[in-house]
Amino acid sequence: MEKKYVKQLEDYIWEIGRGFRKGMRVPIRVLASKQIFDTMDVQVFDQAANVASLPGIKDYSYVMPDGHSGYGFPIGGVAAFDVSDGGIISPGGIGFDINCGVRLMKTSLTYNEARDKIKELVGSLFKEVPSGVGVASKHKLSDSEFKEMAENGTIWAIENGYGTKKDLEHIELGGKADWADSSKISQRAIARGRSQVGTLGSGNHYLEIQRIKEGDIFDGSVAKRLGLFEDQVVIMFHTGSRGGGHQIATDYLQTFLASMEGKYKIKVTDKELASAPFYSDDGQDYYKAMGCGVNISFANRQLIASKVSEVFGRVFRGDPDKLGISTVYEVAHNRATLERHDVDGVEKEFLVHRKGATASYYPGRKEIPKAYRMMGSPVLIGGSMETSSFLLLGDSGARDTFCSTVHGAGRTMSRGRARKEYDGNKIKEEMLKKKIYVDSASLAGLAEEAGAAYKPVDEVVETVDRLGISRRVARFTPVGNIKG
Amino acid sequence: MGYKFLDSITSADVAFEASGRTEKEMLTNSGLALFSAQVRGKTWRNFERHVRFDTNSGDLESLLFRFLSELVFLKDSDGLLFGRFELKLSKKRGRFTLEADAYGNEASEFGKNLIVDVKAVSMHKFSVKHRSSRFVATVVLDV
Repeated sequence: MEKKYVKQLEDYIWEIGRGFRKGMRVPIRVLASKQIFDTMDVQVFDQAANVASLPGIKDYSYVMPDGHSGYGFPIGGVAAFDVSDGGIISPGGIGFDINCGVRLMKTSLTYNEARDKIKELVGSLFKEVPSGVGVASKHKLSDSEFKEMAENGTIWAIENGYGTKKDLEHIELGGKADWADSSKISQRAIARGRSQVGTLGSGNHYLEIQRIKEGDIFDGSVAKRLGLFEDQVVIMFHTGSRGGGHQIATDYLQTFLASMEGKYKIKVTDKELASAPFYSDDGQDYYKAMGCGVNISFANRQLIASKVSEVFGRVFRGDPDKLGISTVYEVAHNRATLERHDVDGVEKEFLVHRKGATASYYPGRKEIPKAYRMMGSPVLIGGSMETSSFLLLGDSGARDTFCSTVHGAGRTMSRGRARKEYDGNKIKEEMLKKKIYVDSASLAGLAEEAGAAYKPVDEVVETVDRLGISRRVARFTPVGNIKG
Repeated sequence: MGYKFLDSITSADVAFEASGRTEKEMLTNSGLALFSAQVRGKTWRNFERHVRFDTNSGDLESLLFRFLSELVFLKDSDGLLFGRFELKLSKKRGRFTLEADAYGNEASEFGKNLIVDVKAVSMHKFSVKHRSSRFVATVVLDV
């Protein structure tokens, strides 16, 4: 990229001007240290420029420090669209894996108490939580049951015996996108989704047993309120809306491509960014269908959480409640959410697209569940399987990013290159030396997820911490990992 | 080989270029590339499952999209991965019709040779071009 378009505004803020690519309505704002900025792949900026040219975009096309190239929006891409002024909704700004996200569960176990059981836990979780390519669901739902699930998310799962109502207090949106309408999803989405309910998936999806090492709690009072302590064993897993969500996005992408230019006079530089005005028939249909994708992923994570509790109970021969197993929080990083934000002194409604980016609400915002509202929203950052993950808390700097922050470490290397450079078996052996037990549906998949294929997560997190967007609360180190 | 993976297009996902002297060959090689994105290495020959489907479109790009999307759909709905194709392609009044016989196995048959789950066929840089007497498709898969 030519340097003339790039301006470093502050230590961690970069701006790429509208002259970078024809048609850009707003500049690109990249949040990154110099080292991270310099190693971002050039396609990230091209993709962010494509986003900057979409109708109704406000202020900036944002790239978070974990930004890397994907399809349509970059991963780590954020854009807010003014829906009162022709702002759009785009499936490519959300991703096929609608509402893909992370849940953090805590236990009352210390690492010393659990150490000898980690291998058994990994083996049992790998067996009980279906993972990998084309794997079938253990839940046999009828079409009508699937549609109920798609309209009610976590609530559906709880009503069917998976988890308790208390979980709802610790999930974004209370575990239900109330705008979902299952009449807006296709029979293909139902057929595809039904067979994958309660499955983990593959790629960067994982289920991890982690510990909080000494010195890895950065905000003691917040950690205490969340029930976290040093040497504690916690569980984190990352999965999404599986085939149902993927098909919803696929269907509407084609619908938008067919209607976009003729009906709405919208032209895009990348077909993956096919869009419709939010307040149009097509826009509203997708929003309601996307809500179903959101709920499918909520239910999926609830079913997996229930299985995790069951496995822990069995391995430790005790009641999961007595092991203190409960949800700390659950966030998503692939969703468009209708939110009110103050811009230039005027509060308006925006559809905030976050693709590979997490909501980071500053204290007091109504999107935060009551239990945490005055603290700021918990933010969960999954690192690579060989490093660490983080719990952050939304802070006032998030006012400048439409309440958005990072979602993970972010790749530095393509999957193909990682597969050429690393060997799944060796990674497994090396992780074992570090006392991390791994079970994976795929050795090649394990190589693709090698720690060295990702940016240093500590530096990614430091960026948003320094900018006051999300501040660090605790770091988690893996001790057992199930890879899809 | 009628396809190659492109590492320079995307870090997070998987991109490939598939080509053929004819439209049918390009479609077949695209199907094989999709399979190779999900199953590693070894040349698989014994396919025990067979599915027949057809699709149609007014243009070659959409036809390729529909063909690949059907294979992705069958992976999730029926748990099948396909590594051999017999295709019949016809064109009448400007409209392509594709009749596909796809041969494969249940995903679990491939064991630890599975690589990654393809979630969708994206439209990012999706194209079919005719150059140097070959039909060339560029596809980015969400994984």
